[in-house]
Amino acid sequence: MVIKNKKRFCLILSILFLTLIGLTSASLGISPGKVQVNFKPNLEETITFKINSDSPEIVFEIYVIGDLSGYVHLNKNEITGSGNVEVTLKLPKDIAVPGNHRILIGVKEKIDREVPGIGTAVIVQAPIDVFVPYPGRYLEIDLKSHNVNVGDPVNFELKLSNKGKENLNITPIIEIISGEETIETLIFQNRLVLSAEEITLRKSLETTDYAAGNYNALAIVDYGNIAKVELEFRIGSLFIDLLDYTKKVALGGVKKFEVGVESNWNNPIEGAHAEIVFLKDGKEFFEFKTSPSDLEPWEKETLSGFFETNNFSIGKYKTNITLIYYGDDIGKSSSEIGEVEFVKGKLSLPLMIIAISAIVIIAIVLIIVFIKKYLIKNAKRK
Amino acid sequence: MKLIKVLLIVAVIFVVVAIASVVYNSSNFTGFATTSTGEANLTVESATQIDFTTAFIDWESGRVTSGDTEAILDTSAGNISNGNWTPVTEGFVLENQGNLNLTIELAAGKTNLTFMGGTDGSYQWNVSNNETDSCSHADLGDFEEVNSSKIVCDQFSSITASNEIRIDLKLIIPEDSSTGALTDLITATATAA
Repeated sequence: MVIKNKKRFCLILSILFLTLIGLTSASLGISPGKVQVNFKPNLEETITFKINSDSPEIVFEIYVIGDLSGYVHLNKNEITGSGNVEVTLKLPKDIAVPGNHRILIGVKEKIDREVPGIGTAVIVQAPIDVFVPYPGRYLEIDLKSHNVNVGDPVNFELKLSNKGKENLNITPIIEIISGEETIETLIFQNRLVLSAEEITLRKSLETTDYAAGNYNALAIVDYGNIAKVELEFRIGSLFIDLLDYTKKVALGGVKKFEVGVESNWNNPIEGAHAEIVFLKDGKEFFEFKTSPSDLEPWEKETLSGFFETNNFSIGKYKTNITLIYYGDDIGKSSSEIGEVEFVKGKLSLPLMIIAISAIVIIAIVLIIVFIKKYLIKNAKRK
Repeated sequence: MKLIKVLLIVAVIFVVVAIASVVYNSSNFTGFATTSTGEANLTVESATQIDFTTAFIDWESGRVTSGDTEAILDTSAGNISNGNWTPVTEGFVLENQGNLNLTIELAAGKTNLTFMGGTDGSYQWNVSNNETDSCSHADLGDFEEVNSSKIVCDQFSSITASNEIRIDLKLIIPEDSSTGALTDLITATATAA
């Protein structure tokens, strides 16, 4: 009885206990999620962070890290459940290293590590980015725009960030470029951008007299140095480009025909399909349509259709491919002449399977016949 | 005297009715329209908020099958090899509940040696998207040994349909592992990207 109990005890000891339910974390948040501060000598600023948790009983520890953490004061170091924390920045007269300095305000659960099991915990950190201006003049620019259709205005947004210590007097321009040629220049008002200031300027380009196509916008800001940024935008019209089509077809049965197209319009196009007409001796010989497809703005798509090739013979056929489509209830079409070559067809997969199966059956029959004859011969000899 | 009292009461009633009438009609005043401008101001707060919506994995208790050198417990495969623990089919699920894209750093409190001991054991995690496009990161979908500090997602999306990542665990438990209750803590640190 004692031995039996000992064995049972050893077995219990050998069991690895993996109950991984010890700790479960709470939903935890901090707001604002991030803060940007432009450095000023001796700047003093208090930011209120809201700590949000769905567990009112959990105690959270609040901490500060980062190279400027010595200039940060918290009004409390822990909080139970949800609440506010006042973070006071008292920056020095001067910070030697220019650029961004990140302070992190962190909130973490106070976990009892003696609780058994694998648990999860969450920590949230809100960055306070203190930007220290670069010596002298330093301007960062960014340009945004969008595609339009002919007649619609292109709205440009030029973002200017003065990251230098000096104020800047500037007159930004945007050059509209087609190919190598500048065809129009948009000029902004002269203005002063203060140190650490960030502004966004807006300007529209009227496109009524523009042809559909691709254009570049080059923003140039002279602030003592030259800042440039360039982007491409498109002016569209209700037109679909024929990019490619099936140029070689193997004869025999029903075959697939593909037509590659690209929308040149900044709105959706509906029911785009192709009508393919084969010509023989200059006359219409055979025609079929692809399935219709809807195109998103500027989308490339492959239209597919199937046709019977038994009436065709080896050789080249002239083809008239007409693209038909609808945009804003306006129907439109465009045609292009091409050439399709019909070549000798390869054996189709089902036929190949049948042929191979037949060969295998014949081979098996021959082997059986051969073996039978061989066995009969041997039996007779014996 | 009586007449005066009656008149007084009537007068009071008239005054009350008149005041009530003015109040009632005050929203329907007519007259010349004047031009005025209105200004609507609002501020949308940024917030970093995360939650382990699936916060525990419970394989219950078990041991390496007699005659085998190791057992494998895998939440992504949802099975147990060479052991009698209860299979778990779901890893930890972390949700971005705020309105900022986040950087997520994971930290395990222990390594496989300090967690389960023994020879040739392994304690791995595998971060993947629980909702499509929640996070794009080079190591997504691969099991790797847990780490004391690793950024597993640079841009954890806050878009509702794409704001969940999953952290699966795989334990390779050697036959000579530690016994008893094993403990560890996996911490997710979220910082605005």
